[in-house]
Amino acid sequence: MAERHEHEDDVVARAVQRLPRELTPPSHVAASLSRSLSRRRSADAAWRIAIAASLVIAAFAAGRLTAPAAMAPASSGEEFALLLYGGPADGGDDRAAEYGAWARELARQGRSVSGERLSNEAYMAGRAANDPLPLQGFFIIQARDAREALELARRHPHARDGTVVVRQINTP
Amino acid sequence: MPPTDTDLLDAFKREGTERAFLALYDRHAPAMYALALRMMGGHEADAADVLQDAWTRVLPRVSAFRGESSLRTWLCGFVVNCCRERFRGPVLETIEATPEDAAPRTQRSFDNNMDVERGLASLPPGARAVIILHDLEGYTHREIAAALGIDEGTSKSQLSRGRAALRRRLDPRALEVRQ
Repeated sequence: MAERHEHEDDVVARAVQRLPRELTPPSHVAASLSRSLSRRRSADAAWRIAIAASLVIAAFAAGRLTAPAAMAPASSGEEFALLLYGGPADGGDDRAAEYGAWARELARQGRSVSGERLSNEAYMAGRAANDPLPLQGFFIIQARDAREALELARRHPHARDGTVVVRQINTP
Repeated sequence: MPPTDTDLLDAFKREGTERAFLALYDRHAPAMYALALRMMGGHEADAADVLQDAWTRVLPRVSAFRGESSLRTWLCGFVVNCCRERFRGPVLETIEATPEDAAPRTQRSFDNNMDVERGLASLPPGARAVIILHDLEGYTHREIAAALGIDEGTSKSQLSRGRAALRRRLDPRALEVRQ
């Protein structure tokens, strides 16, 4: 009896193995994924272009060693991270342009400034942490002190509908 | 010569374009969809959701692929995870939850694959998943246990009971026809 069951099991297994390994998925899945990928690339590109533009200006400003003192106030300043929480998940090109304008303004003042947009995917290692809002991106800026960094953060467009947390970067 | 999986993956990592994505998708989505459709008991809308969800998770992680398994196996792992999350109730409803005599006995042939597909779809999700992963996808019991969050003993027993249930759902005489 056991042998018969074993034999029949093999027959069932072979029947399953004859099933086609590939089936055509509905076309809307590829279309939806492509749209999503395209939107994401567009938003990332706009963000990067805006930041890159500001860095070019910053490099230009840094080269103007003969600029009036008012133009180069922060070269000896501290570095701060501006952490952008919450706000619109996908602000699109307009939002990226605003962030870029904010960064360019800092660069015009002679401050170094850089930034990155973060992916929505987050992975956690170590102890669990519950961020009240998703971290969307960050800027690294120069400012004289925390008070000035906070003032610059208040003027960041993200502070309108999101939260900008200022943290000084510890340097040895 | 068609590009290898590594070629396609490198192109996507390098370019990140829609075209590079579609080249990867076109090659592997049919196998992922077939797996999703069977795991979800033949529900096409659920399988499409699983496929979309799996790729949404895959794309930000392509750099994490280390080539320790084939790309297809790695991709199908995302499908299995997405399916597993969708199983309602206990993670794996076991075969005992289905009355043994619930299957229709009028089926006279499973000469076409649709009969087997229907038989699989009628099984509880846990036994169905084990049969699909073992008999169709070639997973070992250890791999099934890891993928489904069960122990190897459960995988073995579900395979055995699942096959028996599937056998009951199909006409034994028709099974012999294919010998």
